[in-house]
Amino acid sequence: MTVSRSEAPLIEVRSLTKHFRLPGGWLTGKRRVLHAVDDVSLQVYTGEALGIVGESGCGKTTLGRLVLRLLDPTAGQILFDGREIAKLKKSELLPLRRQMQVVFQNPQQSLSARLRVADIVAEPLRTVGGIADDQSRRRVLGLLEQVGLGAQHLDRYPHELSGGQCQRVAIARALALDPVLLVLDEPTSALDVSVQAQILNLLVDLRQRLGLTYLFISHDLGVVEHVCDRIAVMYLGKIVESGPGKEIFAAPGHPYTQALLGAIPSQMSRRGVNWLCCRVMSQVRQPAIWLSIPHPVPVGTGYLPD
Amino acid sequence: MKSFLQIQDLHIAFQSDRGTVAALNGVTLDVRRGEMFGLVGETGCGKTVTGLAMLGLLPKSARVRSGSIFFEHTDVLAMSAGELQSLRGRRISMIFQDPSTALNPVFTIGSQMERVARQHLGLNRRQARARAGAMLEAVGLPDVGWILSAYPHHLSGGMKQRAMIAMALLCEPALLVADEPTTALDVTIQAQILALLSELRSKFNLTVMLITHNLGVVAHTCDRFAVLYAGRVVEIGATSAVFTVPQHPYTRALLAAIPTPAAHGKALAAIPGTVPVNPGAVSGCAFAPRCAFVFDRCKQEAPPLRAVAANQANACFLDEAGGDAG
Repeated sequence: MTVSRSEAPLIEVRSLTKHFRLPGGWLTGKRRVLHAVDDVSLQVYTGEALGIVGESGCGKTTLGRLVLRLLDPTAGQILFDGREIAKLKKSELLPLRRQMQVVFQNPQQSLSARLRVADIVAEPLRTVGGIADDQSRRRVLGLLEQVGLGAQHLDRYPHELSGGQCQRVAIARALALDPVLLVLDEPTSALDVSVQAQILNLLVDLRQRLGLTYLFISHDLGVVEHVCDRIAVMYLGKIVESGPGKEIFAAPGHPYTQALLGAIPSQMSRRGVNWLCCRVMSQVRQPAIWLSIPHPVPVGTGYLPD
Repeated sequence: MKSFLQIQDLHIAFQSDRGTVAALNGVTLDVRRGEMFGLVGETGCGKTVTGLAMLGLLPKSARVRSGSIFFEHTDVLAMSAGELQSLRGRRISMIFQDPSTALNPVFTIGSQMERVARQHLGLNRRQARARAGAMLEAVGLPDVGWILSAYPHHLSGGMKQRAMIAMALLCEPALLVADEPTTALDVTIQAQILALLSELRSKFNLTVMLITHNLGVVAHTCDRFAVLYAGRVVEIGATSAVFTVPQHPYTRALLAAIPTPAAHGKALAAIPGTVPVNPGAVSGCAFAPRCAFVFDRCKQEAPPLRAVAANQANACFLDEAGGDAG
């Protein structure tokens, strides 16, 4: 897939940092600080899909929320379409909200259990879009059709839908305001493999059709590689490696990327026989890559990769 | 001669407000002593129910309609509550997906483990603590003294799962049922836990039944495995045989749906439709509505599990008809 890169990136993040204060420390007098995102810089161009991979606690979700300004950064700049948004007030952010939308991991939790599908998808149209109810019904139907659902789903509640259908509703809701950027935070992690494939196909298709830009966050390197043009690997709040997926898969530079790559099941062609296996699992067993407890709280000057 | 564990035509249904839901519709499989056996399937296919039934841990709403589970020549389903009590922990242990909910948050790891050892092995407190410590060491945890006195929330996910495994192995059971033991864990930790399981298997002469939705995990760790769909085994066999030539259309579709570098930029072969909500109500093959190779007979009768090779069996009419599924 070729991506036409415009001159300026849609999103540019410069030295972005987010610290969380941890509770405790009253005995020692030292407040512990968790460096969730630490001096991260990246660019995402219009129409591009950038994948952020890393394990739980590496700061990838925090990064996504910072870009959406759902969290306030501790330091650094966020440029959206050339405009600095890191310090904008809530009211100033509101017009930008319709351009950036988000899909979360667990659709059963991110969809209101008390609303019907029609109301869930219509809500952004009503609250931000200012579209009257009678017009919104047709628009909602169009959105549902775009994600592979139909009129028969309009009056259902989330609990009457399967996990995959719920995630389709969440995507339809995210698309309601014609955004340019979608932040996808583990959109298929709660789904079965066969359904995951459906949703991944849908996301690839939507991006092509609507010219969307993706920030795709996942712990699954295989999934990210499938959807994204470029991949950034995060570890302990920092981006340790980034580049086109093909290059990273062919020659992972950072030891952490190697461990991550080795731990995913991959289909290899061995004498024409398809084999699924965890390739470098034996390597991971060795204590050299004993990555059991990533520790985002700095100890002394450096990190403690245990 | 029955094998180590033999499940024969097991039917289990759940009573709910909306009527009866058939979870298992004739599960037949056998596990041999000392092997790592995989039970694979998607959400709702009945893999956890199968695991719970083996330990007599089914919820009250479940009813065993027919079938048998022979473990070491005894039918588990015919056991009394007391017999089950001495079976669980002693002969069969189970570990669960999420170690943070499976461990009791208000007791230390040490006291939870001691209780198991005292109950089942009749040890005194000091002996029980020593045994718990030894087992924590065996699962590769550092600083055992600290872990014994730690509460579950002090430990990371991987450490908790190791502690769970240590607790499950306290009485050196013959069979360990591991229900999605790595699903809640990161991939690098997953690799460690799976490596640990195969290591412990040889150390303790253990048979492991690994319940998972992840075919990659199965490919790397299991000797044999069964694919479950809608409460039935659709394919069972030696891992190498099934991955070399998957026979059932569902197994093939599952393998094709996994994103791989080779498939970059191409559409993934997603399986259309969803798993049937109440597979018991479906006549014929439960996979028929989603199958690309469906023909008339599939909709009328359910295909039985038939051996297609020495170490592989398949429940599909395709190979019987001589047709080629792929």
